[in-house]
Amino acid sequence: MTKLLELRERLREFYGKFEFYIKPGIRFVAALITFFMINGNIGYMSRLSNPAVAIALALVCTFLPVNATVVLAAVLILAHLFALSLEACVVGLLLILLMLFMYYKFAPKEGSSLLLTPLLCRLGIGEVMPTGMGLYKEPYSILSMLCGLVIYYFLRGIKANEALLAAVDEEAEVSKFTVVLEQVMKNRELYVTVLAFGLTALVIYVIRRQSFARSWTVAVAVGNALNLLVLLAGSFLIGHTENILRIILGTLAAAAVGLLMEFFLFNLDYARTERLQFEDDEYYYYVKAVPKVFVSGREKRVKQINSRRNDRISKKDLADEFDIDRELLDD
Amino acid sequence: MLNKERIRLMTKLAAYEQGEGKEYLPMGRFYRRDYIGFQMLKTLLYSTIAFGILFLLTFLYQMENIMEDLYQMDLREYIIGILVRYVIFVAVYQVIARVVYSRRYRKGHRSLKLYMSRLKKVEKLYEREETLLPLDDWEK
Repeated sequence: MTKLLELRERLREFYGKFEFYIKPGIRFVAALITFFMINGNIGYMSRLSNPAVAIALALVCTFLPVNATVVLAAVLILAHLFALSLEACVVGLLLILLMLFMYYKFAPKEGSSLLLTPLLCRLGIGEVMPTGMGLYKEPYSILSMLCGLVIYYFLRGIKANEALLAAVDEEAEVSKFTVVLEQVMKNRELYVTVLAFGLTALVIYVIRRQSFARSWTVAVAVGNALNLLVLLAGSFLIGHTENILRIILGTLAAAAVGLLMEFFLFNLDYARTERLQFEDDEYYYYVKAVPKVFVSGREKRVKQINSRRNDRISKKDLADEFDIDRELLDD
Repeated sequence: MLNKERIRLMTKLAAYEQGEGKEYLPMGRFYRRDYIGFQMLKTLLYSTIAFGILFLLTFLYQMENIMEDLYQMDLREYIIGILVRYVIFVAVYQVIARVVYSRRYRKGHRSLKLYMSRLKKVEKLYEREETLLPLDDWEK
């Protein structure tokens, strides 16, 4: 345990020192993975699915806020959908606009969870998302994760029906709009997942805010049990029993991530070093403000030196304590 | 001469302006009622657009059915149904906006107060420097 605590302390120091480089680095990697994944899964426009394009876009994102990555990813997705079929592109655009006006105009800082949700879902560990959101974010940002889920299931449905959508058949039985929209409106798996993830994140948030000891651990355990329960029940109800193993593994991963997050984030501020610029009449100031380290409440230990219950010390205790023969103490 | 005390305060002010305060500083220009009213108006606009998109999506989804039934269906009833839904949709948004923004205003105002008090302190330090400086010159 001490080793781990030391590791945590060192990590924090490391982060504080190199935050200037770590943050853009993370942004670059996240953007790169996002773009590669989009190109790999729905790369219908061959000119854009070139890795060089993805790398160039990710480089641009490195120097911009997270929301720039979200916007670029949306544009990339729409371009690929456009190459596949106009209908898919129109519906995709409408969905994205809908999310923008229903939610993101009010909470513009939630881009990261919107990006992360489809990525993790694609990797098969989407269950990690509600745990992370519940532990780390405010309750309203849960909506952001749900938007990400809609995007993921929409794109997955498009991919599954790509042959149908790419066909230039005027006499098709159902219009392409209907096919595309069914991926969202009639997707029962999406509804189950939205319900499960939303509930889980909320429950985790509520429990971890309580003040009892180990509330984070309890929150992770209860939340993930609930998640598993709802997802499994939903899978049986809609007859999608083939991905049960994946759900169980995903939930286990979520619990593991939750415990890791508890260890690294609970009561601990990876408080940011700030670089600021300002001026007065005579000078320009370039200030690097490093926050002072504070000891988290958890590591405080009270060592009791004298116990109250046993005020009287027997000769035997004393002899044991000093490791001497008891008879020496006889007067 | 650098005044450390003043720089310390100014650093805090700058940190606030570039971080948390970005969201709250504009609030200082509004009265509570104006701020909430303005935000609710913005919400009305956004929720109207959102409803329009929702309507468009459902229309696209049912396009075929609607085209087939176009002549039999009661257009007036259809439109009234949509209007009712629109009013409910927007009303829900207005209620949420009202709650969220009045809470945000309260929070923002509290943090602005601290900011303002620091600002005043900086001002006082300035004044003191300015009144002291000529005195120093004179003593030399």
